[in-house]
Order: sequence, then structure tokens, then C-alpha cells
Amino acid sequence: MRLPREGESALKPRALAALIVIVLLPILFSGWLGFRVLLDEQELLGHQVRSLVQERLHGVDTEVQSHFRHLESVLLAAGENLPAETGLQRAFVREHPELRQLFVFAADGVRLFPPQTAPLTEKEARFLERTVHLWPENAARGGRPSGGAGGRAGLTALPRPGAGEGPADRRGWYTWFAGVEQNHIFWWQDKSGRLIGMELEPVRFLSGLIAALPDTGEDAVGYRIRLIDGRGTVAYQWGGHEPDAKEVAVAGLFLSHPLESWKLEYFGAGAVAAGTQWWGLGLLLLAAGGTVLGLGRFLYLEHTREVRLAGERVNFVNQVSHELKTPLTNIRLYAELLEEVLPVDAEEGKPRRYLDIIASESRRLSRLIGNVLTFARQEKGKLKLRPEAGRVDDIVKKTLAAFRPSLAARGVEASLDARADARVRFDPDVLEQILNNLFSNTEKYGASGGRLDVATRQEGAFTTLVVRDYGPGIPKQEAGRVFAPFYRISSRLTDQATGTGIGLGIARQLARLHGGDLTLNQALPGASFEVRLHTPDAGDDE
Amino acid sequence: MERLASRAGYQEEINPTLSEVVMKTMRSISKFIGAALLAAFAAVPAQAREVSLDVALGTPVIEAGRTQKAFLKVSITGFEVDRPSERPPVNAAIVLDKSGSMAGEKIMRAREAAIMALDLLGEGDIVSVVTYDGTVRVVVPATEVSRRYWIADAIRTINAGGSTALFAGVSKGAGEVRKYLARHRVNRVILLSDGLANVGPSTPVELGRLGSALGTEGISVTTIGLGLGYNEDLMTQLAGYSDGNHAFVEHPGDLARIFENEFQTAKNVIAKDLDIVIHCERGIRPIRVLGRDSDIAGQVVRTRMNQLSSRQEKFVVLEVEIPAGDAGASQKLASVGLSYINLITKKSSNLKNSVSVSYTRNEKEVKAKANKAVMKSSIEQVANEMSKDAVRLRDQGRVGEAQELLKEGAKHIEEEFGAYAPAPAMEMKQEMSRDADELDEAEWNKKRKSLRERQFKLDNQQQY
Repeated sequence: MRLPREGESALKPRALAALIVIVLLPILFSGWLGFRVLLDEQELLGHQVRSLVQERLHGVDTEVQSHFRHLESVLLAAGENLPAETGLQRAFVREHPELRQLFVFAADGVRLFPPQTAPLTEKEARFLERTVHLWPENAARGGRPSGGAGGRAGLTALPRPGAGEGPADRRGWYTWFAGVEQNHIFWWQDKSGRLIGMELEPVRFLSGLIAALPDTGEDAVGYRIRLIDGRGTVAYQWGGHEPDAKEVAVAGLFLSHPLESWKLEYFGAGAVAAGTQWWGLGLLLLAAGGTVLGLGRFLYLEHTREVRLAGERVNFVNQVSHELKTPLTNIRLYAELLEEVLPVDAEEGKPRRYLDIIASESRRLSRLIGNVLTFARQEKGKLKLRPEAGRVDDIVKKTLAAFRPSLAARGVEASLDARADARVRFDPDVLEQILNNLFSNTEKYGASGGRLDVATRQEGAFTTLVVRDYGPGIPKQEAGRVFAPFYRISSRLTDQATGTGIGLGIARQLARLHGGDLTLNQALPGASFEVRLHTPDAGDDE
Repeated sequence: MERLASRAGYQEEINPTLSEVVMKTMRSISKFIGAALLAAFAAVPAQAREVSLDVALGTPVIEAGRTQKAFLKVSITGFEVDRPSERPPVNAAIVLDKSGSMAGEKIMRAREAAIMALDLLGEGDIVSVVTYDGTVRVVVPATEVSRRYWIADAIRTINAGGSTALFAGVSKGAGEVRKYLARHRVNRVILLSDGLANVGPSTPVELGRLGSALGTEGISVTTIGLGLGYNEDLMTQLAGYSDGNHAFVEHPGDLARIFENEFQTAKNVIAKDLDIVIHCERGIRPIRVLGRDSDIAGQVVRTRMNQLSSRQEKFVVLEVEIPAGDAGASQKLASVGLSYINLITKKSSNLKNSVSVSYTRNEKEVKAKANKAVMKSSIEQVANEMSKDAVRLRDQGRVGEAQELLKEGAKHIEEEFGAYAPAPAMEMKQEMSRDADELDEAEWNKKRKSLRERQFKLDNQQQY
């Protein structure tokens, strides 16, 4: 038996589209989701990295601060032993490597060192020049010879000596630029009220600071921290990461007093980690895509297999129906012939009743086969209208008459309100099939109401038929489903063929083919089907 | 195969150096043992354990009746050490430039030299190894030399690449030395660089001031310039102000020898923190101190030396103006005080000395009494100052003026010193003329480096 496969080819584009959607949507969605998640994560990570880096830079700042504290203690300890005599003070400066110069003011504001009376060394003279702005009173008077600055200290930046607060508060750092060189003075007031200022040797200061800061150890990879001095040049740096000229610092931090014009810059880290994550996302997407594609392909294969099977079944049923049609027609023909041959006055008894049953059952079988064949034709798009001139009511009467015995057997009384006797063009076979399905529907489901009202009327080019039963009716939520197109790949095709699915569905298809529709109207009690057909006036063509 | 061959060649090349070192060590050990035995048997009292302080005038007798200049030389000579066990422990940081320019033979030789230097040190000595390019890495933190193999392995990991953070490298090296900084130790940073500093402070002045501060702390910085790419001014200033040594090494192959010299002299240090104060008598005007960094405040001249080795002579030449005096008269010119830390006796010492000048009408007597040694040193120092001036002019591109200066200087040396010390004056004259001719040569860069090295050695009386 040859099994045509046209049904399969008709399914393919839609199935493919569905599959593409099924495959692409999850990939796109998960990709988008992953992208979002990663972006969020990256932002979070970036934030974490930045705060970590900031924390680290703050740690460095703390180290710098503790270096200053250390310097303070060294200088204060040295100051304890500061001699009073000028010559010894000179030696003091020479012996302390941290020191460049020193000033000492007595409690009454008189400068003790550098000395005012004894000759100055060149270095002391330069010190006074460097710090000339510290003695503004002198500068304002402008009278004193150079190097003889400040008979009485009028220090602006530093407090006046002997201005009695607690000695603990009377100390601090003073920073200024002399040319391009940044200088630091640590000053304090000792117990005897002297104001002592120690100028750091800048180069030694930086060298000491560098010695206190970390070096590029074995584990100092992936970052570079730069210490930028007040001139904006790199004073020191550490970390194995070598930033190129265009690289921008991930984070920066200005140092605390007294190095507030210095800053730290952090390069590297973060960017590298994020890069691998993008790569990871790509891999994840690829894996997900692969899985979904595999699933899609599996579904597609399964689908085509199902379609092929369903197609084979439909074709099989179709074939069988065709094969059944001829013997059934013969059975019906001979049953009817027998009916005619039987004497009219023959005993109203068994033979005639048996014959009636044979005839009606074979008609029922014909209807079923007709439905199956119509369904198959419709599937193939080969359903065609064959309109001819006639009266609708004739067909209605004839069909209803055929159903009367079986309806009566179920206790259903049928009434007909026939008002469509105009000669119009329509397909009588189609109409009969529609009515067959509707009456058969009533017979099966609406018999409990005990009544069937059929009404026909004509308006213009349309004929309307209403078939109403008084049975349990069709619940609202089911209303749409009674016409639901038969699910083609369902393996339960044959089971459904006897149910509402195929019958009402075909009836509606046929009504629509006929330029009208079949609708279900609510009626209490029962169900009311309204068939509308395009029936143009047949006119005088006959 | 070729590589194997060249490696074999390099083995041959290095082996003599090592065996030489071993031989030398053996020789010196046996010498010391011998000396110790001798000392024990002879039971003679130990030699003078004090450095000697000599003060002398170039012209102790001068012409009467006119104001004139004279050269005063204060020299300090280290005593000899009997037993090697007496030597003070060395605390050295080896700071190696590993910037890109050091790649290849240079870094290889530097590694070898550093490892070789380890063998010159003994128990009780401290060593650290610091490398720098753009950043600094403390390869070996300050540690006792007893862990020799571990240190050598760490040194072998050093590879070249990057820029030149010289200042930070020296700072970290000093930081390592500072961990074991002690008065009785020879605290030293040994810097090897072949390039120009380009991260952090990089001018000769700044590095000089760093050297000065480190010197005050008791840390001297020895600078070894390798090849023709380094800044000799920076390197000499750094070494000079900290009273370390300086060497110009043109070929990496000579590094081992320089390191050996350096460590040998470090081991021979017997005195530290030498403070020299010269009080000039009333009427005597101090003009300038030649070579060394010093403070002149009125009549008082101060200068210092970080350290002094066994048998080493270090000196200061002070130019003074002496007022006119009467023939036959004699006058005290200056008194000199020296305070220092004796690393052998582990005590501080103070020494005093003074010098007088007398006047005569007899010109021949002036010449006859002239101190040739002082004159020779004075000639060298005066010439050295001129040489520095000439380099300055040459740097400004004023080649002609520089040559003129040296030629004039040569004439001046002959006129001023020829009468007192004819041989050294002639020698110096010739050398200056030769230098003048070479100022214009294509190899000025190299010439300048060797000039700087020479000037440095004269300034600091370096032993090698």
C-alpha cells in the first residue's frame, strides 16, 4: 500500500519556524539574561575591586602616616638632647642624618638658632632664605640684612612661642615648596617654652619613606601602586604589573597631612578577571545553545516522525473508507430494493423492522465514511463545492425524514418550521452532510430534551437554518472547543472520528466553504446551532 | 654544541678568578696565622691601635714680609690589623641594576660577581641583595652570610628587564642595611648600575644629598658604573658624599675583580665616623678645602670621613692665607682635632695635633724645607679642581675654553709648585696637557667617565 506524504510537506515550514523559535528564544533569552547578570556582577565586582583597592591605598596612607609618627618620635627624642650652645647645635644638625636644618626660638621669641650674632655657615644662610616667608614681620619691615631674619619670631604658619597651651598640642608639621622642592618642618614647643623646628632633609625623607613602603615581592603581581609627589612625578612605585603609557589608574587617593599634595595611583587588576568572565559567558552560552539545539533537533525528528505516522494513519483510514464505500452502497441499495419488493401489506412485523434497521445503520455508516472522506479531502485542500439549483427545504425535509425513525426511537420529537423554499443555488450534498452532523449530534447528546426544532429562513442571498435541541446544552467554556479543528497528529484519530470533534468541525468547515458559517448560540435549555449559507438566487437558469 | 662550547669557555674564564680568590684567601689566612703565632711567641706589646693624625704645611718655612697662600694637609692613616678575627663585621647591601640595558653578559657577570663576593664574607657578616628596574625587589633581605647557598640561589634568579629606579633601589638597600645598622659594623651599600636613573629623584645633586645623609647615618655607598651608559656625576656624587668608593668598569668581565676589591677594603675598615675640626689661629684665613665637602664657619673648618681602612691614608688639603711675618719668627698656624670610632678597640678616640709656620728671608731655605709629600697631594688636589672645572666647561660644549683652562693650569702648577716638588709638578703638567688634548676626542663619553673616576679617587683617597 502506497502511503502518500503530502501532509508532511505541508507541515514542514511551520514546524521549522516553531523549532527555530523554540531554539533561538531560549538562547537569546539566556544570553540576554547572562549578559545582564554578568554586567551586574561586573559592576558589583568593579565596585568591590574599587573599594578593595581604595582600602589598600588607605592602608598605604596609614603606612605613610606611621612613618611620620616614627619620624616625630625620632625627632622628639633627638630634641631632648638638643644642646643650648650654638656650636653644639651645629654639630647636632650635622650628626642627624634626617635633619637638613634647625631653628630654635627662645620663649621670648628671640631666635637662638641659626645664630643671630655669630657668623652663619652657607647652609644656614640658605636655610633662612628658604624659610624667609616664615618670618613675615621681618619681610614687611624689609630692613634687616639678608640672613639676619627675624630678631623676634613673627611666625605666621607656626604658633608664637610661649603662647601657653598644653605642650602636647603645640606641635605639628609645616610643609612648603621652595622652588620645585618640597620641604617639611616638624616643630614643637618644649617644656622650657622654646620653639624648635626641624627641617627634614627632603631626599633622606623620601629615601626613608621608600624603605618603609613595600617592594615588588614575589607575590606582588597584577598591580602597580605609584606614589606621586607634589610635583606630579613618580617618587616611588611597586608591584609587578607594568602599565603602558595609555593605561588609566583604577583608583587614586590623596595622602593625608602633611603630604596632602601627594597621591597614590593604583593600576591593573579587575580588568583581567572580567575578561575571563566574558569568555566564560561565551562558553556558557555556547553550551546552552548546543543543548537547546540538540533538544530542538530531537523534537524536530520526533515531530516529523509523528507527522509521518499520523499522515500514514489518515491515509490508511482514507483508503479504508474508500474501500468500504462501495460495499456499503451495495448493502444500502439492496436493502432499499428489498424494502420495495416486500409486499406493502405484509405483516407489520419483524422483516420490515429488520430492514429498517439495516437501512438506517448503513446510512449512518455512510455518513461516517462521508465525514472521514470529507475530512481527508479538506486536509488535502481538495474540498470543492458543486452548487446546483434547488430548494433548501427539500433537502432539509428529506434529511430530517431519514432521521425521524432513529430520533423517535430515542424519544425525540422533531418539528420543522420550513421557510426556505425559494429556488436557489447551493450544494445539496454539502447541506445534507451538515444537517446529518447536526442531527446526529442531537441524536447523540441532546436526546434527553425530547425535542428537536428545525427552522429555515431566507434573507437575500443567504439561507439560515437553526437546529435546536433541548438537551443538557454545551457549557460556555466548551463552546469554542466543539468546533476545534481535529488535532491532526493525534494518534487517537479514529476514536475522535465518532465524537463531536470531527462531525461539528466538518460541518463548520463545510458551512464556511459554502460562503457562510456554523455558530453555536446559547439556548436554555439545550443547544442551538445556526447554519448560514450563501445561497444566491437560482433565477431562471432552469 | 656551540652553546656548550661557549659555556665551557666561560667556565675556563671564570675558574682562574675563583681559584685566584681561593689562593689569595689561603695566602692571607696563612699570613695572618703566621702573624698571630709570631705575636704570641714574641709577646711584644700590641702595635699602636690608634690611627695616626699628621698635620703638615707644604711650606713650613715661608718668606717673611708678605701675605701668602699655603697648603695645609691633614692626613689620617689607618693602623695595621694583626688578626683577621679582629676585623669588624661587614653589613653590606648589594644593589643591582637589572634594567633592560643590563641584559645579557652584564647581568650574568653581575650575578657571578655578587655570588663571588659572598665567598669573601664570613660568619657574622650581614648581606642583603636588592634589585631594581622600574620597581625595587628585595631579593635577599638582610641576613647572616651563613645561609650562603640560599643567597646564591636567590641571586641566580635575577634577570634583566625594565626601567631604572636607582634612587628607590639605593633607598631599599639602605633600608636593608639599616636593619642591622651598628656602630661597630662596616655598613655599606654597593650599587651596580649601567644606566641613567629615570624613576624617582635622578639628578646628581639629589643623589649627592642622599649620599650625604646616608654617610651621616654611617652607611657608605659604593657605586660601580658599568659600561658607557651611566651618569658618572650622579654615581660619583652618591659615593663621594657618603664616603664610599667609586669605580668605572668598562667591561663586565672586570666586575668580579672590582667586587673583590670592594669587599676586601670593606673588610679592612678599622675606623669610622672621623670628624676633623681645624681651628685656624687668629689672622690665618681659611680659603678652601680641596676635594672634600666641608663647612667653613669663621676660623673653624669642619669635615668628616665616614671610614678609614687599615694602612689607608686619607687627607684633607686646606688652602690658607697667612699674614706677613718677621724673619725668624715662628707662629702657631692651626690646631686639628680628630674624633673617631675605633672599630678594633670598639672605643671612641680623640686625637689632637697642631702645626706652626716660621718665616725666613732665605729663599733657598723655603725650598729646602718644603714638604714634598704635602706638595704632591696639593698638586693633585689643585689639578683635580681644574680638571673638574674643565669637565664643566666641556659639558657646556666649550671645548676650546676647557683645553685652555687645562693648559693654563698646567703652566700654573709648574710655576707654583715646580720649585718645591719638581717631579710631581712635571708629571701633573704632562697629564693635564694630555687630558687637554683628549677633551676633543670622539670617545669623550668614555674619557669623561675615567676622568670622573680619577677625580673621585683623588678626592677620597680611594684604595683601589
